[in-house]
Amino acid sequence: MDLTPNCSRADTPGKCAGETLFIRDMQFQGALDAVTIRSRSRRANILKIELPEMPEGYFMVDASDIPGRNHVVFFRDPCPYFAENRVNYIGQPIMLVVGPDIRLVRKLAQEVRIDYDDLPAINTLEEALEGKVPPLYKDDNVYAEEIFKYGDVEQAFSDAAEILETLTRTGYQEHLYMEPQGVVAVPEGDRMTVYASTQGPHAMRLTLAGAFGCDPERFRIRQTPIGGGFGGKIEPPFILAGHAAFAARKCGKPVRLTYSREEDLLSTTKRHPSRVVVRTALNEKKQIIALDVDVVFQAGGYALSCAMVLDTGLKKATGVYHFPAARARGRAVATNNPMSGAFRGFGAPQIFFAVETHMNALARKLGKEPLAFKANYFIRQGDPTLTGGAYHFHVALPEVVATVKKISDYENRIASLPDARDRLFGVGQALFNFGAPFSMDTQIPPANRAVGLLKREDGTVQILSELVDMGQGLCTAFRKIVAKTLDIPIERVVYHDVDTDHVPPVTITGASMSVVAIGRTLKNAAEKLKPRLNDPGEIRVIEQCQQPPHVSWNGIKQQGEPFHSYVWGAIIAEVEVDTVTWQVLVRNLWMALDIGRAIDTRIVRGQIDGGAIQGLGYGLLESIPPDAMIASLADYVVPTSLDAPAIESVLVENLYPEGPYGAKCAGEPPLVGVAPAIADAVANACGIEVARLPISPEYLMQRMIEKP
Amino acid sequence: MTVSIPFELNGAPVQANVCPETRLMDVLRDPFGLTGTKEGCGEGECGSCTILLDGQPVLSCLTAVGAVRGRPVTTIEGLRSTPGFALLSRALNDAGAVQCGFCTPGIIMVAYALLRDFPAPDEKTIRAALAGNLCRCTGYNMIVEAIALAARKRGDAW
Repeated sequence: MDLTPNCSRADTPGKCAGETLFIRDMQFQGALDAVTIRSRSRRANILKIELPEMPEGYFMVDASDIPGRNHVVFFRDPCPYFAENRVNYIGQPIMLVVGPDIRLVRKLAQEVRIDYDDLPAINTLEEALEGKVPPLYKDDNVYAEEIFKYGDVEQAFSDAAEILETLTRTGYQEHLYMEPQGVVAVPEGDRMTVYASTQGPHAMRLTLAGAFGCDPERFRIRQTPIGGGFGGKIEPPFILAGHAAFAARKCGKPVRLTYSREEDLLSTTKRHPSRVVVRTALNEKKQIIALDVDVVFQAGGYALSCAMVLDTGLKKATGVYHFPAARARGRAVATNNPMSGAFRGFGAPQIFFAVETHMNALARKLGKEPLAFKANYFIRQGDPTLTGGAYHFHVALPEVVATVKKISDYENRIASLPDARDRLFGVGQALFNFGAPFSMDTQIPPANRAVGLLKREDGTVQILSELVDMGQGLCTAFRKIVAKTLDIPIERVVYHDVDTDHVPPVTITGASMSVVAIGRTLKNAAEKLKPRLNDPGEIRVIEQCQQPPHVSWNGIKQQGEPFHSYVWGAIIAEVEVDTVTWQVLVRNLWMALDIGRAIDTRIVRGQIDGGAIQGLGYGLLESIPPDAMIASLADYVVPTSLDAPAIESVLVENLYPEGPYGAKCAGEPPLVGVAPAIADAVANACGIEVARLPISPEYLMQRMIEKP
Repeated sequence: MTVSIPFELNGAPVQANVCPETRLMDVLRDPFGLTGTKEGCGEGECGSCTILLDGQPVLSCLTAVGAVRGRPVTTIEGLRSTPGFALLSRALNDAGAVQCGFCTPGIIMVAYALLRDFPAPDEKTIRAALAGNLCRCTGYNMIVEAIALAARKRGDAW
């Protein structure tokens, strides 16, 4: 089977017809509905809770109904399911009201009276670091802190002839999966089945076991079709599942907990806002002799996954460059805001905005063409990484740069930008890489990760994998890998939504691990099955994931390879700026991307286009105010069909020997470089430097007013 | 206060016995059990709840069921057997334009009415028609191409 022809997705017809059942579309006999009662205070002690009279069949569920621990065990730091005596952010869950009629449940919920003793709140990462307000976490509000370095950065900066410093800021970003969060917990004898729109079915099982203080075997998770994830259905579903399960245990009936868009916007995880200071030291010849990066990520009222996001982002802090010396220091700080969490890119969008903005500003300052200037510092195969590993494989930076310049007609385009009275035009570029880890937490490689294949009597081959399809096309990509390896038509390969009773644990779906790491394991499983494919009866092959031989991480020394493969990319953006409204229109985007090799080019294009438009939204449109209070889509602007420019993308083939058929990852990379490329185009168009995202009309107008 | 509201649903006469201010979207999903119409936001911003009322795309989350008394309502379920749907569904498949699928029924409702009324829409017209339907997965361009593909293969579907 040739990978070149695109394969249709098996789920498309059902989705077109409206037949696919998402969690809210499913019927559960006798199910009760639950509504979450949330904190109205940013930071407070809870003084008193007054409940209305609960009619027969209506219940209140709180921390006292948790059989084991009031703590989501997946994360290093405690995060309660329900607030007990203290709340740390507006929207933090305190209790549920549960009952048969959702309208009465909502009415009862509104009658709950909670008295708070408000405490001084920490609103921003600046306030967290200033220390004027009593700390929220330990004595300095720093949930996580790390440094990586090589060479002598201090010496370089003291020897420097010139130093450039830039400070960039980025804001919250909301995933805005079109399907809001939802779960249904169904007690079944001494087991509990949870139906969930989740990216991590087995992890969900473990969190429930931790909360209940029992064997994970007691839980079965059935993943329902996911209406978009983007990382936003990793952490929050753990909390929904716990809430629904505690309620189901108390009431002895199925409990449905689905969020309205309003509460999803208000209270679920968002991308970490950032403040990044980048400094470069130059010698007399205006060459960069050192890079120093200081990163602060804004986490919320509890740490959740901020240590992982900071760690993963920080390890990418030298961008696509190698310098004689480099240092990257990062902190994730506590604030009284809703929790930040995983979101496509996982720290990289913030980092690459900072680093590319700096390098582009430096090029402008030195009067140099940016791509040629940056090429002096490009990483090459064999160079050491920031963390003492090495870039083992071919680094396709020159190829992606050459390709993107060609498809955009870069030089001619810049030379012939239109002239108009009330418009400014500009072209910009950004470079990025994306290291794919072997696990979400690169500090701790997990044990017991496997996928498998089940050849049935009827000749179909079922993929046994915990990874979920949330629209990215994983099912089809995996079926294609298996079909090609077994040399059978793809129609004979099946992949169902995940049921933890039937598939081994492997990992949460995310971190761009699926095709490159797990897909390789699946290919290995298929190779083992192949000689037995026509044997009679059922045959099951389970294959453990092996870390590729070139990957090794010493968690104690913080040295080695956290990433096994790197995607290389270059983006060029053309913008048109309205000099009356200061709105930015992206006219065209061009992207050259090395993802190794596409398992299915049409699926990859779907990831490129979707990631690029999410990156465009991040760069220009999507804005949550500093107090993180957002409860309406009228206030959170995401790109529509009218905002999407033509996107021309070309894949540069650079086979990765450890990936399935040379494939690397494609889920996250396309988002990473878009905002920096747009920012560079705006800077060129307007003659100012852009230091924050989103580049709102108000911000741009302000920059233009301040322009000397 | 429950009243009886007769209307036409997917070509058949029906009756809803509900408060007239109940959202049409909720009446369609339950009691009629037509879950193809999705609630993405409940405030008229996302387009996932789009249905056809008197043949025109309308947001069912902002429509009170009382307002459809005596009028024809078409949902994705009602469109399934039409040649226009078959064309659009095939084109969306061939263009690889469906990812998570949550926005898809709403988009098909809009595209169906568009191609019925505009046999050869240009890209600008297609994008403008879709402007009220949010999609977070695809970045829109493959959907626009799918609708253009369906238009080219239109034949006598309408």
